Amino acid sequence: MMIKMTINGDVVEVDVKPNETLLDVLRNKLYITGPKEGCGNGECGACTVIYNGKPINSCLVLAPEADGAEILTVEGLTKNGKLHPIQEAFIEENAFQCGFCTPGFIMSTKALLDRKKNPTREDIVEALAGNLCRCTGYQTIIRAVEKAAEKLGVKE
Amino acid sequence: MIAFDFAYHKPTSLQEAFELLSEEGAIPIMGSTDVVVKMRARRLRPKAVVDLKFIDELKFFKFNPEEGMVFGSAVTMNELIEDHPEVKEHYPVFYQAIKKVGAYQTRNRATVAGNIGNSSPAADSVPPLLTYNAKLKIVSKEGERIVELKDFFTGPGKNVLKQGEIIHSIIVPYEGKSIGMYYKLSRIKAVDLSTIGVALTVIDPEGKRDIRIALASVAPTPLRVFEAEDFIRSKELTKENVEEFAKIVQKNTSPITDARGTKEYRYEMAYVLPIKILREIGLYKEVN
Repeated sequence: MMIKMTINGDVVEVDVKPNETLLDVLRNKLYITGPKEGCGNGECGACTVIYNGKPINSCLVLAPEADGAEILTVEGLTKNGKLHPIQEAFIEENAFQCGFCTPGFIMSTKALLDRKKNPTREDIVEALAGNLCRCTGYQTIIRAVEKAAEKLGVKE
Repeated sequence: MIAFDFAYHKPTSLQEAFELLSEEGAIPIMGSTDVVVKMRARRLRPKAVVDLKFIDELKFFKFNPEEGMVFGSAVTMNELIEDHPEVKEHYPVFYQAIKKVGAYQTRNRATVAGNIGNSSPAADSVPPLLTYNAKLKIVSKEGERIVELKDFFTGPGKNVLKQGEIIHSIIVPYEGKSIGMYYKLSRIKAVDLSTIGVALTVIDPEGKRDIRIALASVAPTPLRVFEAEDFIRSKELTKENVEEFAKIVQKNTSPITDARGTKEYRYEMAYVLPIKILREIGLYKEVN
């Protein structure tokens, strides 16, 4: 069946099957490969996208459900080749090594900073608890989120 | 990708949903956080999934002291705890348990009705609802019925729902101020099923002090231990009484060993945690 979604500001029409997930469609049909498949069970957060304003695991959404949805992936953060302040903060704080989990972490961070301008450390830990990283440990990631919040605060 | 074919339906009214669910092999879904996982693992092979989250009638929340809290089955866990301060204020143990389900992403999709319908013995949202005497409104083409949550579960993954029936809403009476705690032990802090979960709720803590207790992951279904509640009612919380209370809780469990813990550990914790919670909420002051 044909579905229509708005992905990173663009209206996209794509033919999907019920047994495909939103993640399958993003990666394999639309070549939007920022969201990754880690566990495929909603445990690792590597597939996190912002779906109708909220971060969710795209591996657990059946594709036909997404008809009419508005979706933001990490690709949508970069404007005219310029990185988003959250991305800059992750680089500055060395908040990744292999990078597989990073798009998911960045989308969870984006959603957190959209709902809370000045998150506490506790808020950050809670918002990122569904994202796993096997390389860096989490301290640099938490620092990157704090720095991103500062950067975004200064801008406004 | 799920390795078999099935149909997907997105009804926008209950009537439409009833028709679709009357087909053999059709199952209802909400946030699909459990169902998609089971389908990928081929532990569940429906012919059709009927997605109920687009039915407006199932998306409501209301609270007043007379009727208590009533919310529709399509309300997500995050909507419940972020948009409705009444949940934290009047049902604190339920609020705590919701925050321990999965991760933030999960709770943007998952629903309490889905957690109940999935009927896992480990369902975190269930023990607190049992302590608050929750009821379910179940609807079908034939009509509606009200089922007490304590009578809903019949075994792991099993419940009294018949083909074509769906959970319409969850009704949680308001019996006055409550305090308490949902204590969840799991291998990792987030995104894990409970090794054991204990909900201890105290209704009217300064007055009649009605202590209620229910547990997850220690029996084939979530378990409320009325026997222990009856024992501790109007007794002083002395060392002797509290330990006897915990012993009764423990004796009512029938845990098994699985990937998340051994039956011995669960059995031991079913004794330790009730005492620990009573101490942490300040009702029990003995040190040992």
